[in-house]
Amino acid sequence: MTFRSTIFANARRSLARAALSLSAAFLASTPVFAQDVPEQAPERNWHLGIALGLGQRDNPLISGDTIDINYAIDLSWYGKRFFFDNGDFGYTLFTDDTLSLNLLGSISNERSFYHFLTGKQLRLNKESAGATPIVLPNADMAATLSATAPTAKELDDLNRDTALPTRRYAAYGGFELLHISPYGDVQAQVLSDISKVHNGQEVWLSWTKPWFFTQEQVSLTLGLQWQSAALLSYYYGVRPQESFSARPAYEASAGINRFVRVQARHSFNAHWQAVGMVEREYLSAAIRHSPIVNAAVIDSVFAGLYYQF
Amino acid sequence: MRRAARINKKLGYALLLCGSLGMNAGQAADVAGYTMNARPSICVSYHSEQPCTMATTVNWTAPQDSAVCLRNANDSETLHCWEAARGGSVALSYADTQDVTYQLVALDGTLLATCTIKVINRDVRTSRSRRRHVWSLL
Repeated sequence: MTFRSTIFANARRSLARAALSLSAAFLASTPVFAQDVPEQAPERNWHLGIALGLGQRDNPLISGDTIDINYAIDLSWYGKRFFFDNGDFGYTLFTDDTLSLNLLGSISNERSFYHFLTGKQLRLNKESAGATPIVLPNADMAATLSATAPTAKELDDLNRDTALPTRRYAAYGGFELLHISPYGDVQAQVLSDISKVHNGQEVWLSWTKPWFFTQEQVSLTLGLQWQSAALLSYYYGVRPQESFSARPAYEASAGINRFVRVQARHSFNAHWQAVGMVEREYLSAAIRHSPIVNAAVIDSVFAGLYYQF
Repeated sequence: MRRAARINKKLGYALLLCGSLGMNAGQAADVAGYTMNARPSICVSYHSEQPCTMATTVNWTAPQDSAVCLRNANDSETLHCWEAARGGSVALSYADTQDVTYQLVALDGTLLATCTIKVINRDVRTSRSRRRHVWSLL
């Protein structure tokens, strides 16, 4: 276990303990909160919330561990025109009560958070590939090997570093359209790589139906995400120089991911909420067929206590 | 299979936590066995300048025959009265920009029970649901 992975493992254990302690303390005081009617928070343009709890997210990358999620952060700021919302920067070009058109910018790496959170260098499992590295001390010994000895190319394949090649973050820019109505909320984004990292594009379209109760809010979200061939080839492709027998070269086509998400929250008062989220994302064929991916869906689940500052 | 079992285990914990905390709808404490509620009790507004409008029904019950009146706590306007009843209901047309509390009062003005209609003002700009990063999934 590396130093970095030890740090991450310790941090996750600490967060899990903190979440459990917080949950236990809160359970003891629940009857008091249950009698309270939620106060109306005054309007403000910034929003910060932290959730501690238990959760997991599948890791679709080959030999990648499932990601434990023990915390979540909700940070946003909305000015008259400019806004920041959980990593997205925006400028509102037009808005009325139910429609908003925004310029949007964001930085993202399709793959990075999988090994960022697990603290693990992802690589192919050589045992699963049916071989272990072989190093021959000298040419004489090689010459004495039987006729079944690996060829030079096979040796090269077996000794190759199987670590997943790194990919850079890309800056995205584009437009976003929001629309709310009693029939649901629509969010549409058209984004392009403005950093020239992969020159790809993506389109996001989601519909969310929220239901409001006295102290609870439940929402269902259905969505699609189209990603161009350039984007998917960059993050899920395997270049010829990165390929070997267990990881063939791969160039992705464009694809559409689909997802469904259910979220629920129960307010105890103006600051404390119980929150829960379940999501399933169906990966596009272009991602599923990648040699570095071994999953068709990504399941995410989280439940915990949320404090709004 | 093992991955699905792990997810199900986590989900079980999550549901247990939510269940333990309780999902009761908050209702103001009533006195002397009087109860009152409004259904629906949430008005969702999509227009910041216009009053939120909806039809709602206020129901009440009493432990014995009572002469009571229903009034709007915000302006003390009497909306409906009953001479001698153990319960009643009245349909109201709600139109306001903020929360309204209804009160059930005795003829001498004693407050017996309350219920509140809550207004939720939706803001289109903060309706963004996409979460690009795993640490901001809510």
